Amino acid sequence: MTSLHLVWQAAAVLVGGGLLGLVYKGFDRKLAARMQARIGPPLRQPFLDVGKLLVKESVVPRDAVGWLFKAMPFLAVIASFTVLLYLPWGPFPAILRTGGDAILVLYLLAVPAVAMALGGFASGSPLATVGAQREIVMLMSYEFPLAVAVVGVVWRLATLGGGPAFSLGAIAAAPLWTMVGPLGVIGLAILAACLLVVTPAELSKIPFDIPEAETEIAGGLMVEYSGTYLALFYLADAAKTIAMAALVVTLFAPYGIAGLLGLSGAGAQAVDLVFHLLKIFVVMFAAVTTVRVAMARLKIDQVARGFWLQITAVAVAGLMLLVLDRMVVG
Amino acid sequence: MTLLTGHGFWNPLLWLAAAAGVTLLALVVWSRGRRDYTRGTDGELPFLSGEKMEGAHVGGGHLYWGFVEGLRPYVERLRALHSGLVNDYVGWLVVILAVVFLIVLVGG
Repeated sequence: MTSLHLVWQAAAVLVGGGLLGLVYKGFDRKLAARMQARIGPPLRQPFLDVGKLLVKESVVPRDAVGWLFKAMPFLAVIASFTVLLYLPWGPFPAILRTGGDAILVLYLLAVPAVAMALGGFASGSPLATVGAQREIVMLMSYEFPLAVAVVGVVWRLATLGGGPAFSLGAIAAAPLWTMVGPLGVIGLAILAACLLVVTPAELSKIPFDIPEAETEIAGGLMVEYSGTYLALFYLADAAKTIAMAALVVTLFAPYGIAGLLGLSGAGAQAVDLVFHLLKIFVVMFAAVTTVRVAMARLKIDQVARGFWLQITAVAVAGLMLLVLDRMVVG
Repeated sequence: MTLLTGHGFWNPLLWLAAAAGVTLLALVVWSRGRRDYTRGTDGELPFLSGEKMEGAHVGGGHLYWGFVEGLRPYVERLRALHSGLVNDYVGWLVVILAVVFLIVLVGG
């Protein structure tokens, strides 16, 4: 593969990922509205939102640390979009498959939250400061069960000889469900459930929208952002939504359907790619859209306690079942 | 230039190249947007409707308030452990070192 070919593929994934993220945001808003017996905005509303933000004034508050306030939206975009290059896309391997593993993806997924918090602190606004503090507390809370879920899958794959174990390509190529015993299947199901709980927290969506909390702290860490800089954060959020859902699919449901349909060649790749995007949509719908319609916002201490104690305990239980499965099945 | 970490791997230069590409795309979006704003108006003041301006500045002493409130049960447990007695701290060090040695020796 030539370098130029690689650049074109990377550009396609980056632009496609951004557009897909905005389309999914449109579906999220439309479906949430329908569940609340509203008509909702058109599917293209996120594109209109970005367009509108780009023509609005980009105000930098008087007390802000200007360069930090302006730089953080770029950092969020860089981290969110580069994650897309390390994830497999259905039948297509990750663009940078030899350049990073699941650990790198976890770190990159954490960077947009840190960027938003730093932007909030840099804005010099009390409401943004409160939101930024909440963002960091939430980040510290959900990273633990997230790491347990990923390490559980990776460890079991390593014991079965699949490797390099942290490679997302290796994980996608060897789905664990059919390789482990009954205890392992239960353990994997528990870890998948934990990851689905972590997903809305990672994306700061209800019931974990505590750092923004519009009705309480008026948008929190985003309160001072406007215009072009807010548009960049908006795009970063769209890409991160796709990346997080794609990570869940890669870890727990990397199956294609082209083989079942007896397809081969380019047709099989196209069908598997569409199926992969459909799975990403299902994860987003199940973990974000439905949950945010059904639940109210939690308090920050409830989130910290819940993730550190209950969810981590459940994730560790899933991990222990995988250990038992290793002892029984080998 | 790929760094190996036992079971994991990553290439910082490749990430930097990817980050440079994404930065270019972000700059394209940024250049299409409006970067200016009307200076010297109340629009530059923090969004803190209904509050007096004196209360709008966040001092360094307030930066930890949210962390302490969000993690209060944890912080209180940590605070209780900080007795100020060096005997207690050395005791913790010995116990944790023993646990680490146990994990390393038993777990290999």
